Amino acid sequence: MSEFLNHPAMEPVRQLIARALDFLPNVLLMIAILLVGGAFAWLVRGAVRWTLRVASFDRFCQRSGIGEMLSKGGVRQTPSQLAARIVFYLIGLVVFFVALSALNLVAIAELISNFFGYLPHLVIALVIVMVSYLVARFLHRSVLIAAVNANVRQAGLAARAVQAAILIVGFAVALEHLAIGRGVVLAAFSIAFGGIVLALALAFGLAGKDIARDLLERNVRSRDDGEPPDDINHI
Amino acid sequence: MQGFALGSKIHRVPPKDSDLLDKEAAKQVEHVGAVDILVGIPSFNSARTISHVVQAVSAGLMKHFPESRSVIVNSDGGSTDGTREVVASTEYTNMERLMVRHRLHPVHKIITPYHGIPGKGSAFRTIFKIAQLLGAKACAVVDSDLRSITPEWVELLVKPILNEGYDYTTPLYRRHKYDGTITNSIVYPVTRALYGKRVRQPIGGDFGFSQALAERYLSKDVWETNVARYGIDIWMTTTALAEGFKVCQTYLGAKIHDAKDPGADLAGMLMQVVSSVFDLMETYYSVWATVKGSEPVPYFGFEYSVGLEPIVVNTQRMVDNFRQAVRDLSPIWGDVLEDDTLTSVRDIAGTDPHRFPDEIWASVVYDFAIAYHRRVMTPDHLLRSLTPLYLGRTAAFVLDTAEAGSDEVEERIEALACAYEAGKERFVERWQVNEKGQGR
Repeated sequence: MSEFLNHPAMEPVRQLIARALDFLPNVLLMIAILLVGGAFAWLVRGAVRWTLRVASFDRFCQRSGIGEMLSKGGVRQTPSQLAARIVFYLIGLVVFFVALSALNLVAIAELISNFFGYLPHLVIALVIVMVSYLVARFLHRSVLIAAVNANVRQAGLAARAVQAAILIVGFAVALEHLAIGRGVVLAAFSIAFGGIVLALALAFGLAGKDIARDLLERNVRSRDDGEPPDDINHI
Repeated sequence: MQGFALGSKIHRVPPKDSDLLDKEAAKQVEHVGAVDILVGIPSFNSARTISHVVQAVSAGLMKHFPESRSVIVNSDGGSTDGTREVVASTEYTNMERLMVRHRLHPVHKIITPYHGIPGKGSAFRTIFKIAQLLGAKACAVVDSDLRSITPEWVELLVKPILNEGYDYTTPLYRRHKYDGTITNSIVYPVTRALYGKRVRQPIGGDFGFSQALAERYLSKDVWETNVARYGIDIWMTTTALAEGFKVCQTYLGAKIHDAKDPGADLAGMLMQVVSSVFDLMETYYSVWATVKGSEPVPYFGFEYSVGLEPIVVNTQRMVDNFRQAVRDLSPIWGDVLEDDTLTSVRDIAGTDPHRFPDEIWASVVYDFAIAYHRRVMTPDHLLRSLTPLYLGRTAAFVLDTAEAGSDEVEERIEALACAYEAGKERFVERWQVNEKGQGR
């Protein structure tokens, strides 16, 4: 057998076996990292879920509107389960790339470097979307309640407009951060806001002046205008 | 109540107890020395009305307490209309008219600005501090915009403290049936149902209190909350009731005051008062949770009828606001009201003539209290969203009592108070569910 392998024609095979033997520890190391990392991610998932449950994270999410956002998005898990799962997959992803790096391959090293370079942008974009959703929801409620209390007839419309504007800005900033369609986003903004301003200017300044006035009087103006104030003293 | 900044966005750091008085005020306190009776008048831009109040208080002190050392304290919120100058220049000298011959002590005056968050509560804090420094045995506070105050008010507020051993005197007024609607529909019946005492005007604004109670008020750390603003009245009354002080009522006659602050915002005012009521529920849960029913509170004074100025109320505007809110705010109320209550509220909005039954209104207020307790949304959003419901209830009350006399109106308020008492057991159960951390 050894004679057969020592034959000059078998040199490529010998080299392949030698390389495979050199590479084998890396593969074993990768498998070990995957196993240990997987177990670690699984443990962390359990710990995160337990901690969030103890800290009433689900109730906090319901109050802050995150729970509503998730259920509207078709997520059936509780926020603490979801957060634990996200942590699990993030750790899993990191473990996977660390395991790959154990192979000491140049192409993979570059891929890992790119991935870790992009990851913060992804996380920040997600945070921007979440925060803009919460701010939009909060301001929607604030505007709605204030407008109803001020007897503004189109209170719902005003509140929805504020919410939509903030969500659009939030998504645009997130996309900008991810460097996705930078030019498109900028152009869309310029066109949309420029268009709105131009439309308003035309409505107020040109042909629709009277209609715009009537519309505002009917829909936006407070019902209190022109009516005598109450004498009632509430306290 | 008139003249105090509502929900001001100016947030100053509340002064420490020792910094409450400036040098000038400290000098005035030192000059006065010690007194038996102190009457406080909080003010802000009340130059038009405060002279009458100061004269009535001076006359009351001269006539009814000729042998007592007394002081009037004006605690002012930085008036720009000369309120402090008016107080300084106002004297009551017609002793003969009062048939007073022998006045042993002069009535002193201390005029001082207050420090801290702009509001009536901060003004009162300064008054409490001066009362403590002067060792006043009995104190009273009266609003600076009163037009119906007489010298007898001082006697009626102070004598139960000085001579009868009470710690806290609340007023009883003859008010127009549409005057004090927050009191009638929320504060009185809630306070009565929770603490079991029928204090008819818990936020009347004109109170008498003992030295011990003033000390207790000063010891509390509440001066960064709505207590520093419009919440002060219900806080004083609830603290007295919940901490076991002896409370009585005194009949003062008509309460007529200057036209209300045109800048006053109902939602802000309602928020300040109701949030104070709800905050006090947290503080005194162990006291009110076990109270069942209610009992009358002793009262002094001679009750009589008075003519009252008519009040114009635009009920249609209130009803329109309520109906719009049912359309627009129902998703928000869905997080606050129980399903049955929300359904009932929607039914009310779709029914003519407009009616808002007592049981449903009591359920609405209890549901808001539970939501406030559970922090289902920011207190500001929660309590401002109560305003249209309150207007709906107020409009229904006005329509329902359009032809009713004052006695009949009192019967309606009594019926509402009974509805709150009937709903209390369920309210306590729901509160306790939350206390055990089970949530909704």
